[in-house]
Amino acid sequence: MSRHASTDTLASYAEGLLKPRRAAKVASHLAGCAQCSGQIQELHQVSVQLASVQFSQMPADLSARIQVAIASEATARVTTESAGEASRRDLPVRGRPAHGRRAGSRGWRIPGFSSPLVGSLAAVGAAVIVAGGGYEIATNLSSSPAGSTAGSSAEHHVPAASPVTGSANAPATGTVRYGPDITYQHGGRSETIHTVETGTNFQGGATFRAQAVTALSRVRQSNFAYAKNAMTSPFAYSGPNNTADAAQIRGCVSKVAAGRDVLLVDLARFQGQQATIVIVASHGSAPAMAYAAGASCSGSNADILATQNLPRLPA
Amino acid sequence: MHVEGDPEAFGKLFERHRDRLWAVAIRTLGDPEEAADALQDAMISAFRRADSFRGDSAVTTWLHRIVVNAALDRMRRRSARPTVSGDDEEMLDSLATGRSGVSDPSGATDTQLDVMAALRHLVPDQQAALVLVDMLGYSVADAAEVLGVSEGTVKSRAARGRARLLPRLSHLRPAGTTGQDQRNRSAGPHVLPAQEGGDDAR
Repeated sequence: MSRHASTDTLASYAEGLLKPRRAAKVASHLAGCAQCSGQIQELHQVSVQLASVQFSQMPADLSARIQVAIASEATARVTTESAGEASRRDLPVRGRPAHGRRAGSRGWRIPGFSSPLVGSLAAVGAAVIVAGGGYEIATNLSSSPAGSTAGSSAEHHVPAASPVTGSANAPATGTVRYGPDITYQHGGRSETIHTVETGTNFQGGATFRAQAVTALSRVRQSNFAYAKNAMTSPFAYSGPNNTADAAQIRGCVSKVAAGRDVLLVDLARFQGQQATIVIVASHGSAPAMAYAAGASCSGSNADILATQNLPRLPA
Repeated sequence: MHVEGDPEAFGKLFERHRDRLWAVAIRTLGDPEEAADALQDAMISAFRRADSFRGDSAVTTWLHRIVVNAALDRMRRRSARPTVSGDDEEMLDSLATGRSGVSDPSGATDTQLDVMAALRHLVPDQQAALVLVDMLGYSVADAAEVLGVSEGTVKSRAARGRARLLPRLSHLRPAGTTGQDQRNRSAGPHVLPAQEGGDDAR
């Protein structure tokens, strides 16, 4: 064989892919051709180069974020299933007999939140309420070591309400309260959003992210439309944040949202201080974001205390 | 292992494999944010379809396959549409995150970024084969399982991929001394359990 082999042929040869006769020809050519032997060496170096590329390790908070997403997926699944299907799941479901091994436990829990591997999530200190489909699931953190460190765990206690009837119009029970409706500016238009008070004391870092996802999930899974109609007077609002009037919240939300869709306005606390939590939808290639805005947040000053990118949110 | 509908069991399964799954996602996509999203997509998808695998021995392969597919989907989508510019603040956020992910002390050097850029020029199938076999050191047999193709196909894709990379990478090597292999620092050996051997490519 006198002609040089193509790089493709040499790569196939090196990989043992050539038929015996062809391989023998290439081998004899290689014996007398420094150029082609060099190429074989270089092909091997390609593999070495690929192997030597180093990458950042998995971000510290990604694992928690994925655990939250899995848990959200599990709860979303329960709400969309009939009771009969749900009984197959290893999820505690209010209104149905508890699974035997959990009958004596002290409360409901979402299994995914009890793993020690997601201990950071326990600090979320929040209940997850699924009311729209007639089921209610809540974490019971009273037995969790981290539960006591969550600043407001007492407020997340889910009252032992009478069993949800299963009606699609059942109101949200428990801890999501509704604040004033506000309008904010979105793409030159005014949009209205109902504010809520989940009662969460948001914390910084990855915990903020997880708490924001949980808050949104709770509000979405409560029956918002019903709850809004049920409010006797949307503006007769007397939550802990009543010093922040609706006009200031409106300006604050417009400022923070900066033209993006607002998914949630939670009049809550951040590290113990009054704060407005604003979750905006993903925008173009940018992810959904959660902001914690401080007490002085207004139309002219956002007073951002914390910001987190959010995972893709369940629809 | 029964993980169907059980987020706790599934969460543990994920924790057990997460470093290797991350290694696959970050090498396929290059960008930490995208790799994170792909890994999350994959785990949600796997959780939804947890009844579609049988037997513990197949779980590792199955999870890898879902991650590879999620990453490849993302690659194809990325090449199909231009980047949409978002709010300035958000763009800064994601840039900052992306940079810190790539160039942190244990992250990629410029040469390594060039290698990743060269990989972008391969068709996704070739890239996936090289990520598994060359970058992560999986056996051809394991890679074939993950990719759902024959070993011969894996070898052929890897060989063509290397041939295409050669002209793009040869200028990066000063004297053939590149490539001290230190990739196994966190995730342990990148070998699928119980499937050592087979026709390794190297």
